[in-house]
Amino acid sequence: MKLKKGSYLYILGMFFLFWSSLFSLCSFWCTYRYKSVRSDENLLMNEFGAAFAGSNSALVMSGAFVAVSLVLAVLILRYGISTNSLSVPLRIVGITILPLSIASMLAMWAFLEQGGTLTTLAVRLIGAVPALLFGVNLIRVSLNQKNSRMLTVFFGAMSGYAVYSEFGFGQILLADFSLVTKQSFLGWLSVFFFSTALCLFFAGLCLCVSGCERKSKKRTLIQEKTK
Amino acid sequence: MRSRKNMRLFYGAGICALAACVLLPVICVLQSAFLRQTIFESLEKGSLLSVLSHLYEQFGQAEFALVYDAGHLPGIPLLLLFYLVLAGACFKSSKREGARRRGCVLAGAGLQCYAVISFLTHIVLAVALYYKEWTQGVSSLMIFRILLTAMGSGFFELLIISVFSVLLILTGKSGKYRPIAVAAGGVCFYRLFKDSLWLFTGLFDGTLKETAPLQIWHGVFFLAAMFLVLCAAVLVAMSGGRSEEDEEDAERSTP
Repeated sequence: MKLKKGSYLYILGMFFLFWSSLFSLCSFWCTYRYKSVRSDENLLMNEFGAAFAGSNSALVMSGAFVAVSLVLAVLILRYGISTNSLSVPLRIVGITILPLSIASMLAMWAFLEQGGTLTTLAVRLIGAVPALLFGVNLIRVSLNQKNSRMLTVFFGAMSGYAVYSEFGFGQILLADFSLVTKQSFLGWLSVFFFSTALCLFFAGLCLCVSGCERKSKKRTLIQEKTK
Repeated sequence: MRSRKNMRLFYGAGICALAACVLLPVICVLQSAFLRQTIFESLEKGSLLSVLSHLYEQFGQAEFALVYDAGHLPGIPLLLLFYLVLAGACFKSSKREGARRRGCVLAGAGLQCYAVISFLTHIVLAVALYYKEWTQGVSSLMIFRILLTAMGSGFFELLIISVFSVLLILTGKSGKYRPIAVAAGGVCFYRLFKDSLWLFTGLFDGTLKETAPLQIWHGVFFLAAMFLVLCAAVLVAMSGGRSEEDEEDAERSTP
């Protein structure tokens, strides 16, 4: 996974990764503030988002994500500059994403109300599937087993959109603001920042993968011949 | 090796486009039948304005909009035409590099036309809903409400389809847009996948018990056809256009 020369996609990806840790930090702060005043009903989000906003899980997840995204961003930057190859950091990212996506599936399961229908269960669980596939493909790409760079980008974009749409903060457009309290807005911000952080993280990784060269036998042979 | 893989993707796109073209007329027939049924029911109740309002009440539900929204109908015949040509192009000259590029442009143009026409229909339907207020005077708040209503019924899907189609056309011109086009395709694909999941699980757990069979069949066919259309578009994007590396390789191999 060698980087292309002067790849602007890689630089943009690095920006996105660092921004993701910053947004995650904002989310952590908002969740911490909202936790003390949370209400069970928040008209700005869907049921899942409202339940998630003030929970301990949100606090732990946003806090942990600050550290995880920052460490991974530094790792990708360091390897990119020193060795010009992203194989090792992308493998680490892939290995990190796999258990995290399974954990988020379980967390989503726990958030379901007792009388949850099959629809809500399936729609919630499916949100973590693209991340799982993205993790698997990242490992495959980093091992150079098969040229699946485009597939990785495909699943990465899917995961980014999935985390953005799962929390239902778009409900703010339909909310009646005369019924909404100020504290609700803090809860909405915590979810908004967290999903933006996750989305930027996936987008950053996709850009980094796009900024790498395609592995090609023919190409290496030509390079060897020219040498 | 690379070329053979690209060819397989291109043939796959052709098969998907062809299968979509078989399903698309079925949607048109079902949707027309459904619209006719709803219009007759509404006409019995009142005027043309109330017909339109009733139509929008029927279709304008944010979650289920993609499945049976009237706004999608006018764009479908054009989509059918474009994808029929794409399928032909895929099977006729898949070995040529230029065919793959043209395939990208064709798939992108089809989706773009569909998105633009459907978007305009959504706006017209939303204006029809607020027709009474519109005649009394136009305000910025009303325009916002109209846009919001249009947005709740598939506007976002159309927006991402539109972005995807532009990127597809760009991929046909230059290979460097390919990763971004594939990423946009991924977003469209997930959105559609989630909608289909909502429909099928809704059928199983009884959420859609109240829905008429015609609506359900229409939803099933619509989602299946759009799935195939998107599959064809993503496969064409993956195989189409020359990438930067291909161009570099070609330069190196020439003496």
